[in-house]
Amino acid sequence: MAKIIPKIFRINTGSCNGCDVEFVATAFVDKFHITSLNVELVDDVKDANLLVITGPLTARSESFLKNALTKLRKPFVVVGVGTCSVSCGIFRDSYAINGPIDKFVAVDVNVAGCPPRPESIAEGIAKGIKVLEQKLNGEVIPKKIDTIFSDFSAPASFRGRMDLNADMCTGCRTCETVCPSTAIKISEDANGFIHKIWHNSCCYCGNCAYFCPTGAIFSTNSFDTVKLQNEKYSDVNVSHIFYDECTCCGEKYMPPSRGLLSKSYIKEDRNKLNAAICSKCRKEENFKRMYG
Amino acid sequence: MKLEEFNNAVKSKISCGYEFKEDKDSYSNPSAWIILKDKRDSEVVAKAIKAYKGRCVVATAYKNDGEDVHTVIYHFDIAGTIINMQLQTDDATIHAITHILPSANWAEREIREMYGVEPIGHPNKDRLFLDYSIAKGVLNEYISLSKMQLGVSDTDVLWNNVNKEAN
Repeated sequence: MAKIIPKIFRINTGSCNGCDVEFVATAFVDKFHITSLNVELVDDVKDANLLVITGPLTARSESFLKNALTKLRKPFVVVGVGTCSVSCGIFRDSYAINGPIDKFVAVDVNVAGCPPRPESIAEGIAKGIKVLEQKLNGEVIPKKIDTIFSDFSAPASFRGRMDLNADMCTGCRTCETVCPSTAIKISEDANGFIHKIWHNSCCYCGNCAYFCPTGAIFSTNSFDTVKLQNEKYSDVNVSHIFYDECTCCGEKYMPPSRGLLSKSYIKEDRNKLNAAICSKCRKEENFKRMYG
Repeated sequence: MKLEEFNNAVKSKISCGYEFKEDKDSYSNPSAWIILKDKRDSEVVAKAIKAYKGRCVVATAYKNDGEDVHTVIYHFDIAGTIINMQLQTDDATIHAITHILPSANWAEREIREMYGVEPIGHPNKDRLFLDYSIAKGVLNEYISLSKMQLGVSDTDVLWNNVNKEAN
């Protein structure tokens, strides 16, 4: 089989240009290895086989995207760059947004990030080329692809994928409220809270970590945000925060977290304070102790 | 220019009455409010602004709560002094002042597409920045930030998919 030459055409569907600036950095800085992929940037969509789309798809840009798609020749691969292209990010539910782009075109690779690091964009394009090869071989559903560029790293201070330390969390919903892109949802079941962080909606602003009263939610420096379309909704950080059973009355209750106790009682013995007792029983105990 | 001087200049020309208020911002810069009883008097004020070599900085609008009335406020500048002209319309039309003050051109077009308030006599009928697929007066519908954040429409649809696939 002849070696495929990936020909990139880039479409901006109303992006803030953050992704586009990073795309330029990816193209021009050697350390991101884009030259090793032997890609070619074409100026006519008719010649392209790898479409890179940024932006949340504004009403104004919808017809331009549709028009470009009619000119594309199969097989082609679509790489969505930026959280906006994957889930509209912070612009979701605006009157002027018709996206995300997968409503109009079958996306193959998603690169979340706001904007994504050039390393992620390079990885996204590399994975896009793999999917293109698979499509040429007649594969309908793309197979899982391992990370291609393993020599990339981020500084420790880099705000990457969010994570949660469930031991520290009390399910207070502060993070859910302050999240500008609705990337966090907390639900409740019989055993406690379920905390979900959807990485494809996250804009990596760090608001949740900044406002978290117990320091439970934090950003890691991982920028592993390049996923195939079939992982779009499953790339989620799911944590369970379990209720305790009160040793006094048997009721289920949310125990104060280690994080909260260490902030409230600096000198006291936390183990003693953290006796498995619900707030109602604790009040009664205290009342008896003081007035009984 | 003194605000009193400007008030005297428009006093005899405004036919249906108005309220004149002096104001100061947090830096003690003086400004004035002209609250018109009849929206047709806007052209008179615009002509006075032109005579003083002023310009329209911007115009703002909003739909009054619970009624079909729009309030439109023009913000004028005469040599660093701000003069605000407030008027109300119950039929979603105002008299355009762009032919007097060309600086009001974009502001009036913006009010037309965001609030559906038609500036009668405006020389440009085209949209300013919204796509034609978006209905006129899109900001008449009040959407609170919290409602947007805590989920209707697309957010619900996407999160339903997340909840199905990630447990």
